Amino acid sequence: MDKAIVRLGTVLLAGFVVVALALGYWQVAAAPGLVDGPYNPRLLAEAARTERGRILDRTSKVLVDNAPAGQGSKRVYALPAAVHVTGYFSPRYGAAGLEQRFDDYLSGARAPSLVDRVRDRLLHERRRGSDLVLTLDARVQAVAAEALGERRGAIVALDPRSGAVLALASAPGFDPNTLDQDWSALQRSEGDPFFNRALQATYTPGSTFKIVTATAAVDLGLVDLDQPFACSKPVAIDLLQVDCRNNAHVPNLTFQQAFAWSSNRTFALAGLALGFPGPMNRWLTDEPPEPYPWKTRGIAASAARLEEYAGRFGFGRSLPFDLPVSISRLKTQPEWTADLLGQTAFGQGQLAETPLQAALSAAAIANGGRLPAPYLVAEARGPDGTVQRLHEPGEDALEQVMSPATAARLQAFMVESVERGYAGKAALVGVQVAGKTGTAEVGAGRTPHAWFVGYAPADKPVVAVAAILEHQGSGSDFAAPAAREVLAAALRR
Amino acid sequence: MPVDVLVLLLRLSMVAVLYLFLVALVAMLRRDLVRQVEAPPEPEGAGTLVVLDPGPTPLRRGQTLPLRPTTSLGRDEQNVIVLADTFASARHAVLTWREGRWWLRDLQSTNGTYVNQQSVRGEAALEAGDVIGIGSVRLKLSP
Amino acid sequence: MSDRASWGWRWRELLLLGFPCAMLLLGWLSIDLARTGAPDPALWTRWLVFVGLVLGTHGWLAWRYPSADQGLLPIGAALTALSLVVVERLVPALADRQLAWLALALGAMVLALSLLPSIRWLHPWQYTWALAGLGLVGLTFVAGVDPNGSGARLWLGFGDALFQPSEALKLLLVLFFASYLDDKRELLAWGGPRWGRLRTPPLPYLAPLLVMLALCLGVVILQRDLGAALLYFCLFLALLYVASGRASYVALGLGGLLLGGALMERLFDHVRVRVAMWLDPWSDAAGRGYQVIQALVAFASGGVLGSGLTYGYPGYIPAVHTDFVIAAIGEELGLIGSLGTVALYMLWLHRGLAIALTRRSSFSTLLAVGLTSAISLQALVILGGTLRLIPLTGITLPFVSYGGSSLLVNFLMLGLLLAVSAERPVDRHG
Repeated sequence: MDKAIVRLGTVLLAGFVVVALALGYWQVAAAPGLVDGPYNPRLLAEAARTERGRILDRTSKVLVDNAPAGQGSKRVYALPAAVHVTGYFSPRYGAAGLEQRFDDYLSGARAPSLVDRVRDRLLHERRRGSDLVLTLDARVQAVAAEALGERRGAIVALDPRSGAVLALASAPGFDPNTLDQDWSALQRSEGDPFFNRALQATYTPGSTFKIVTATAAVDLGLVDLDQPFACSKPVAIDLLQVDCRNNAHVPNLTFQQAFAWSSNRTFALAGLALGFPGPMNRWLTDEPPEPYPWKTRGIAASAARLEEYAGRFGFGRSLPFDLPVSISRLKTQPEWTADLLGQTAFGQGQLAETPLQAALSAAAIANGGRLPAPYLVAEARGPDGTVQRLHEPGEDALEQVMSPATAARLQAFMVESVERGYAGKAALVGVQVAGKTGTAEVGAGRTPHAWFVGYAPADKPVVAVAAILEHQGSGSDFAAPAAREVLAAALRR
Repeated sequence: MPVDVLVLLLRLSMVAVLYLFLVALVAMLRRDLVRQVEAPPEPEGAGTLVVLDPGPTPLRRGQTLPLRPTTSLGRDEQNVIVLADTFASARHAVLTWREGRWWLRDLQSTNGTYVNQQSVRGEAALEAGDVIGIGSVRLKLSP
Repeated sequence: MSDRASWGWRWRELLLLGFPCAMLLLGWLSIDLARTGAPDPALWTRWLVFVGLVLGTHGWLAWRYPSADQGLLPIGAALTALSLVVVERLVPALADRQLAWLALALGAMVLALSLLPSIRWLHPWQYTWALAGLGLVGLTFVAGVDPNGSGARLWLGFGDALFQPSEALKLLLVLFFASYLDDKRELLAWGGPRWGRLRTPPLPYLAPLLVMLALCLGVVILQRDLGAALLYFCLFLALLYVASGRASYVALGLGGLLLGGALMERLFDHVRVRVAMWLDPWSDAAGRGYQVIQALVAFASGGVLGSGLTYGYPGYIPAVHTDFVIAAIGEELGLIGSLGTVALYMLWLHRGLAIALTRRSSFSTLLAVGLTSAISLQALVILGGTLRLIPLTGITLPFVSYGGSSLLVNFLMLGLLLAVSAERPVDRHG
């Protein structure tokens, strides 16, 4: 009997050991997944107990604050126009925007010091989150949202020297203060107000993309900028017919004028000529020498050059940013064809570009050819006053896209475009503006998207902007005036 | 001291007291164990039955039958000691070694089990030299 | 500890009892300070009541059972102190009631031990025990109440108090199994006919036992008290194994358990739900898997050090103060607290089996094994269920869960184990 008792004891003891191991598993090994998992009502209870950090603009104006509500507190959004930046924080519907991406700072989970974290865990003091200080300027943001008005579209404004985002507006938006009441209506409403167009929508850039093509041509020294050429007749590139409609009133023009008057034929041919030794002017004229070089020697070299420059501007890669950004792309099909390359070179084809990318392209010109790294959150201020800088302005420019000399040339193109070309409605009194409009064809029978990208002042840039208005018509008539308001507001700072 | 620190200390010391308690218990258990190990080991059940009277069985007078810690007696072939006596039941009785001595238990046999001519009810402790009677078989316990 | 102390008084027990008393005071103080910043004036009185009860029992044992084991009462007291801390934390309104139940339980234990002529006296009443238990549980069919809406009428109401007969049946079954198996021990060791290498139990000798077991299982299964059914069956196997020494019986029994479980899963919806929610509680996280998942999340939230008493959210777990009390301990006292609790049960197991191994009569041995393994198995059934090691079958965590009848029966069992440990070696014609 004794042996049996000892065996029984061993089995039961082993049972308790397994229980102890299971406790270790659930309380330590598997704990992080369970705690952060979707079935933990404690997170909300803890959140209600947390004094969430505020969100401030660059002048410490409060964008998001807390107000007492019932037992706990609720978030108050002072600037609903910035909803796509701040996002929302709802006990019922979760969080979005910076409220979501920087939750660990705002909720205090990422306390500035280890001591604070330990104190918080052990002593159960009411947790206080860190304030976020943004680069956003509440006034510029408000102007940008107003410039969009009821129209669908987006406006991005940033400081080209540092990459600091001054405004990031997307329309339609919504009021995060009444999210819980409006939720189901917003879900059903047209235009998807939750969608952050400034960062996540990709549009056909239209003629604004000519900045990229022109940069490649100028930077590679492939174009004679002083020699005019004639552009009055359409040209056929495989199935593509490109005409000189945009510059009909200037049949003889320089490359700079072709840019300012947005000559599609010039840029289609320039795109195809990128891979061949310059100057390319002889192929841009009405009577080019036969054979066209791409007809005998292919387009691979040209496509590679355009891809390289587009890549330097930021196409084809994910941009590091404080909020998720869609990737801008040159094309969707795997192989280049001559007509696709031509279309792409003047901004149509299968191009897809985010408004942020468009603003960055302008900023690269403004910044002497260096593409700045965009950012939105400057610093976190802990409850005890410790400041943690999350970005040093301009410390990490993404890329030298072009030489400073090329940037200066492109600036001249864009100034010409504003002063004499199609971008005239972006002009400001007393300040030289550089810009480029775009009118993106989006299919037969549909009103095109209106684009404008640019910056000011041209000689000493402090703000770069991209504006897009969906299905509004020409960039000159719709996007340029909207961008002008934002540039003006930013310059008044 | 702030209350929250006090609360923390109280709670942690509560758990600490729990562990001190466990340690104290284990220490006492160990001391018991050591004493048990030091105590002289009990002799294992050993002994033999000497056949005094084989009755009608094929056993021989004077034959010694070694005992196991549990030794069953009866007519059935499965028994440790098989007693082919018509007065023995199939499962007649069992000898077990426990607490340093032999115990004889009658398994509700038809004709009973006897120790020194006395009928065994339930279980009886045996001494060396006791004579077990089953049917007409007489067996003496010798150490 | 089991030997007769040469110096008369039970000093070790007294020393050990100091720890549970300290634990209770520290725990209650921590709760009061966290709640209101100051200790409740009634706290000291209530603590003194606990100390008085425990020390009173200790004094009585020193008088009447001086040689009884000195570790058991402190283990029971430590688990009860944990219980009082957790109940005060979870449902403060019930804390005084649990303290009253403790007084009743210790009183009943003392009364039972004073009336019990000897352990041997329990032996001949085997069928009385079994039938009494069966009758009590049977009463719940007629007069059962379901105070917390769990869908099972497992309680008998006496005015304001509730009594759960399946708890009493646990003790009565231990008595029945131990006395019956003691009678038939040798026969069982023989075994029945062989099937190849496997020896089957001698069924004719086991028949009364199996009939009684089947009746008890049938009754509790009809009452949907699956935890009790699992406990009774495992208890039966443990005692059968110790009595017969045959592992093959256990193998057969466990086979039967799996078979029976599978059959019940087919037959009963509530069993099927239990099994499904054991395999994948996340498939219905907001519904039938809610309790299991919330318990796991509670464990996870506790981490190593725990959130602190009153600082966690064990209230999200349904039935947290009864069946799921270990999840509350794990959340607020952390892994250190939950492991400490498990260690208490391990020591209970060790103490109890050590008593069983101290050679006394075979009945006392079987009784000690039964009492020890009943508590241990019950703890394993609910701990395993809470931790998703086995399907969840509701049963109280012995001594710790809130519940009067549970506490009463557990202390009666503790008292019987004390009585066994105090026994002298039996006489020649036991």
